[in-house]
Amino acid sequence: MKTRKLDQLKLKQLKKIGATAYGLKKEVTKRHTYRSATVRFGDHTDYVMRIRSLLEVCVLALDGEGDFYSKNLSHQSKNSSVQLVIEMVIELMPDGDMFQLEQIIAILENDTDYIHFPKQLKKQILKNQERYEKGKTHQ
Amino acid sequence: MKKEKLINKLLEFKQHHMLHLTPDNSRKRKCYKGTYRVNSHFDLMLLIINLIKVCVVALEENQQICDQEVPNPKQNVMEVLHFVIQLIPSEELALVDKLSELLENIELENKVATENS
Repeated sequence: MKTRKLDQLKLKQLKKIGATAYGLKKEVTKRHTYRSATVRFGDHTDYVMRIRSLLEVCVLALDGEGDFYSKNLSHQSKNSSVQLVIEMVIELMPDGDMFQLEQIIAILENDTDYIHFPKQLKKQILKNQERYEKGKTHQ
Repeated sequence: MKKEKLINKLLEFKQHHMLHLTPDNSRKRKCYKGTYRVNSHFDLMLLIINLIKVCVVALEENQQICDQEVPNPKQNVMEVLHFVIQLIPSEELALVDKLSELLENIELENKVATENS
């Protein structure tokens, strides 16, 4: 296969990776273009609880004393608030995007050893290499 | 109010007000997906860093140590608060108002009906 055709195949694979359901999704509105991501919550109560935790952690950070100053929040444990926020941070981590990036880099670097390298492309790259080496030996 | 009409109204409310969370059936345990917007992938990373920094400041009792690692906590807190604004379920709470109004109307209708009979 010629280099141009191989590049076309690479482009096709890159587009395929971009179209997968992982990672941040492009969202176009009238004014802006955003990236929308999803976080999972147990239910609506869990959702509100996590928003509360985010606010509680902000209060703790601004207070600077390492504990809640307000009497309304004095029964709250700072550790549980922080734990809930960190759980949310874990959910926010762009694992899917990193996987996509890994695949894209592997294709760009022709890293056929990469475990998730597209099979069709790998076959063509190896064929191309074989032809190239045969041509060299003939010369 | 007839049952069918009531259900249609409830479904209409759900469609217009349940914006923040949508059911996610892809996992074994039932959960909900919440969507949020960021400008870019880098923006998402900044949000994560801000959240972690705020947690660090919240846990740290010795402020001097914190000052070196998190020099401007107010800025980090502000960014987190911006994120929280996006998450506030205002539409869902408007739905609660509408539902309670609807229930009141049904109760009133039932009361009138029993009084007439």
